[in-house]
Amino acid sequence: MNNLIEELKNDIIEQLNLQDMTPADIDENAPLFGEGLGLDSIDALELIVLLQKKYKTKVNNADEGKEVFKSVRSIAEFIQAKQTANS
Amino acid sequence: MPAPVYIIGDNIITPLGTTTEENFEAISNGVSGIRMHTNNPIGDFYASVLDKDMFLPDESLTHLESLFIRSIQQACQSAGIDATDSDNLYIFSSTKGNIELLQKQAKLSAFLHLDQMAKAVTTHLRYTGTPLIVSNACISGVQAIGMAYTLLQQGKYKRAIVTGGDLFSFFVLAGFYSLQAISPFPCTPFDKKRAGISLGEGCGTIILTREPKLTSIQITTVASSNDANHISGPSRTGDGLALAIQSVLQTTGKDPEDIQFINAHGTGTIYNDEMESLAFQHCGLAQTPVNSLKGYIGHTLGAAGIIETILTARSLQHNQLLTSAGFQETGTSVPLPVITENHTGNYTCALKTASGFGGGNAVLLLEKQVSS
Amino acid sequence: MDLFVTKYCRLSSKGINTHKGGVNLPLNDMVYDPQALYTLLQLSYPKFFKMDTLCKYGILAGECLFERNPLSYTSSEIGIILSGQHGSLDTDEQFQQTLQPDNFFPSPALFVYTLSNIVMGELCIRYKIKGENLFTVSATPDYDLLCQYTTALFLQKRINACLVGWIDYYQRQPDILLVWVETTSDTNALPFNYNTLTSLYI
Repeated sequence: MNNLIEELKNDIIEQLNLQDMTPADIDENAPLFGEGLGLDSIDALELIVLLQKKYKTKVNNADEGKEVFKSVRSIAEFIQAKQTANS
Repeated sequence: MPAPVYIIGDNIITPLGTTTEENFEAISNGVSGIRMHTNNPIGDFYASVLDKDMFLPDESLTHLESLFIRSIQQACQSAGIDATDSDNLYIFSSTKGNIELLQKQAKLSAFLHLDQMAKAVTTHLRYTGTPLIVSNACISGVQAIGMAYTLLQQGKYKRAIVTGGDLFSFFVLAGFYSLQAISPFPCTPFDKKRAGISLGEGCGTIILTREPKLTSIQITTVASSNDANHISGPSRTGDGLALAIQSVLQTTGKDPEDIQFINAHGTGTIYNDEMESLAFQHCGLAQTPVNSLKGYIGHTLGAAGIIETILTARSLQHNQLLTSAGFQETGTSVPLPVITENHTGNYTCALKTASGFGGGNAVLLLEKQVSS
Repeated sequence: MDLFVTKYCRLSSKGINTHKGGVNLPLNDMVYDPQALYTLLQLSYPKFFKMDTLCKYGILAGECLFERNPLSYTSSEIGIILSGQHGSLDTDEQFQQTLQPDNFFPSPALFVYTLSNIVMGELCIRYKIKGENLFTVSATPDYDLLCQYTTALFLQKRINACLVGWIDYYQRQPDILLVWVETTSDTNALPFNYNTLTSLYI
């Protein structure tokens, strides 16, 4: 789980062009949108692409997205749950 | 206040027809050009797409260039003017031009550049001047008309031929798909169940001059503004669009009550239509009948502002309001009187608005000629 | 009507020049690295990193021109009239790469930059410009047209100040001239006309 969280932090920095940040700057429990990292709706869509492309997991709808993208930890949990279900 | 400019000729090419009259009649009869299409890997989607026989069979021209040529020739014919005349000012409007050439890596790839695309068209028409090109996302068409209005004031050109065109492309489809903004059914602007846009393709040409014909519709004034808020998300308050509308009202001394109807941008996305409702309310226009024509012809991008302005001018000429396709139930926080039935009456004054990516807004005030 | 260029920035492969003189670049090829310029100019605008290269250069030129001074006009009376040749073609090509049939992951963050006028939108956000705006395309800078159109907007009282210029980027080559146009002059002001813009562009 912790490895996945670290990996996701690096992915997010790369995919969302947060060059002014390091993985240590991201608190895996902090909100990603609004306050916290201050991401916007395009970032959310870009994260959906990231999950599909790299982790082969699909976020099905906006409501599910809201839950999944709460924090880095919630994304990691979502990926893990999907991967467990598929194996 | 600057002098009005007058529409002395026009043309529209969409799947609904190759003349303004054919398009106006089809829309009056509630006919839509939006059909279901299938494309891998996106799957089923709805769009308003031209038949291939609509394009000139000339291999030295791209489909879009041939569409521009056909539309300009017909508009010039309707105005009784010569396309080659050096007194003409040409203004092109396009958002993505020949973007489909990117995937083909074809020999025509130089025409990816809008300036070369426009030049190919005017050269074919034997016009020797340099065409101007506006590329301002979804407000390009209205902006191009605004630019013509502004430049015609100086008297350097006798008339402006303003032409807007964009094709349906996989590039743009995939882009809006990635934004989850393609409607799973034909777009339904301002409706409660609206779920995104339907893309369209087409071309519109409008010819403007400061010397009117007898029955001309005039463009009384123009304005543009920028939200300065977000490059792809519509403003949450509508203040940018409101700024441009208010500028138009102030310049002309009009009260909101003087505006008899609005042809809105009305893309069918949740946020655009909501933003427009807030802007209209802000300007005292929440009770003004409004339509969006995108349910008939889809979102034609750089052509949209020109095609929709021409149809709005025709509404004034024919004293007939066009219905807003796909609207059933109020779906904006400010309820708007969206036009759902054909109305006839004495219509003399209308607004055309547009808003787009990059935060831009543009507004025109159209009037049945005010005799001087 | 007398209009003046009171500030400007020229950013090209030859370096950066402003109304205050040349910006000293420690490395010759630094101008090809917008990120390095960001650090050099000590900017603090996290949004910068999310932009495509055309927009990055636009913001860099804007920062050199305005030097963090707030614009002394109401947002709605400031216009922005820009022009370029390639528009977003560089980003168009990158977005097209995400559309491969066997690797189809269209990027929303790239797509929103695939329009010529997005750089204008970014400048509007950065400097709170809300007035008249227009983006045109031409093969080479048409300074005659830019002057004509901008002057007409001033004459029609639609703007009281305007950011005008040529902004182009393709295949690593930035080519930008931004000028700030006002009705009042200071001692270093230049007349806003074709000759001034042409001489600043060299």
